[in-house]
Amino acid sequence: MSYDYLKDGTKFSAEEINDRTEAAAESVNSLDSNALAFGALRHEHLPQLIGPSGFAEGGFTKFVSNKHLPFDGNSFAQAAYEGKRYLPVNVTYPTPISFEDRDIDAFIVLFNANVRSFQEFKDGSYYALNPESNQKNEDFLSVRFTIRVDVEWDDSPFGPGSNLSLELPHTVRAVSPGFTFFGIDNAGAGTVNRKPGSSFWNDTMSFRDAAIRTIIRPKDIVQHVYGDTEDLSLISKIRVRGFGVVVEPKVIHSGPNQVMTGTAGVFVTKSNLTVIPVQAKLVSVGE
Amino acid sequence: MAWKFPVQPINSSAVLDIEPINQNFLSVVSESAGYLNEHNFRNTPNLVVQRRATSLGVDGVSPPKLPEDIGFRLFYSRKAGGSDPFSRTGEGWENFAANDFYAIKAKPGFSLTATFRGGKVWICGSFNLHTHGKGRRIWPDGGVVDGAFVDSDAASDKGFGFNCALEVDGAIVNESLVGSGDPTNENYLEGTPNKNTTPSPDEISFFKRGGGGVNGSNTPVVVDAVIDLTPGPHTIRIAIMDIRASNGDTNATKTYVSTSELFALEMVR
Repeated sequence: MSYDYLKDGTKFSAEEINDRTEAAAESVNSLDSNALAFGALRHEHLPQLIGPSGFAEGGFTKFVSNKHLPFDGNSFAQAAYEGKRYLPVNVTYPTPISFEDRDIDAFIVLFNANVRSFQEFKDGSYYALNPESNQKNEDFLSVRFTIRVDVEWDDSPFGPGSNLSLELPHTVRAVSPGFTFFGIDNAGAGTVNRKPGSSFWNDTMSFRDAAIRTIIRPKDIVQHVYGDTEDLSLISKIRVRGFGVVVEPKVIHSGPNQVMTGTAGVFVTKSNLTVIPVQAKLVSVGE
Repeated sequence: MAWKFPVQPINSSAVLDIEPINQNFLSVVSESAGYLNEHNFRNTPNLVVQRRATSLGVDGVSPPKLPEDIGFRLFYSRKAGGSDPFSRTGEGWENFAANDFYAIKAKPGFSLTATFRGGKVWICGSFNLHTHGKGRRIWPDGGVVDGAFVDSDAASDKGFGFNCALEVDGAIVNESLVGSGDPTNENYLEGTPNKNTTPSPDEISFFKRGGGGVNGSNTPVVVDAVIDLTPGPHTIRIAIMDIRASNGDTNATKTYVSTSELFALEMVR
């Protein structure tokens, strides 16, 4: 991009100035891909996904990541759950995000957790799965994770200011103990265990990873709150307060229960939840 | 433009000098040569990416209107609703046959075709893999319930395992691959084949075969990659390989996918 300097003696007229203005505008508008490749309008000029610089850590709520419990393979730091519970990972917006100005097109949610082991919850305590009881785990015992969206809206049956946690079905993932490849030298439990899906020993080895990547659109939230409607303008009445994760271990099978006499429990160590609100041209395929 | 222009406004009462005029033009010249940064762009609360217009039309509803300075485009494919991994009957699950090659499906949640502008794209697939019978039926002790054998869906042999990856225009994106299929590089255990040969299933065999790649009854899988796409239409798909085709036992536990999502976040340049 060149510029013709005004010099001493240059005729100082509107034409001279206008020529330079037009030349500058034309030069900017005609930057080609080669110029971009050589540094004109570099990546600093593009919108940023991870927020602006200059904000103190924690003071910026657009891109939020939250985790609990350190991961250490030798540590027993973990959280136990039975039934349906909330994991202690939450993304909370100090000021609920309003869709009224259509600023947000979607939330990208990233969740990871490590399931250390599966347990049996009975009489208020957790017990290791007992191989002597012919418990069949792998195909029938699993834990389900669901992304939870905390919203508030104006005209709900509960009145303005109420809130609701939406558990969106498309975000659900499940993980089993993963004893598929478990093998031991001494099958001490005897033949009673030698049935498909049985565990061979107490579950101290699962350490299964659960990962979810999901998109949550205003449409998903509207249809969860107002039913199957295409009136997306209803999103103007809804504000997102935050996100969380629901954990639910369960035994699923048909026929007599031969898995456990108590209820399913699970120990979760490290988990991490990250939510990225984005402005983007959203194109949904297949609906 | 986002920066102040002109830098030195020339008021009607100002003494004319060529320097401020040159400065006004130089601000444009220098900044377009690479001196803009995030401080030149407006920032407001709750937003990650800035733009001028709204995503929805002026009427507040669809169809969306693409602003000229949009920063990202997000393509998203999934089947309407969800397919619960906890379903006993496997309602809505997609079956993948025991093939020792990458299998794909041209269905929502598994496939996405869109026209890209070209540039960096984050593509990501997230799905739940199942390797167990849909009925989740248990082989009872003694093998008899109400005088009849019950067909057990529990399979002791899950096969070698699975490789999962993203496929772009028919080619596997290597960096998205989960699993290797290499017995020397996986926690693979070779052993006696074990088949679910109802109505008299074999007892489970120790040192079963399995443990390679993605393995287990229920496994949430994420495959993703950041790649450069050329301008034009592209088809992105989730690809799943049943390594060694369930160790050759096509009657072994079937493979299903319950929930499945596929998206591509394109950075518009």
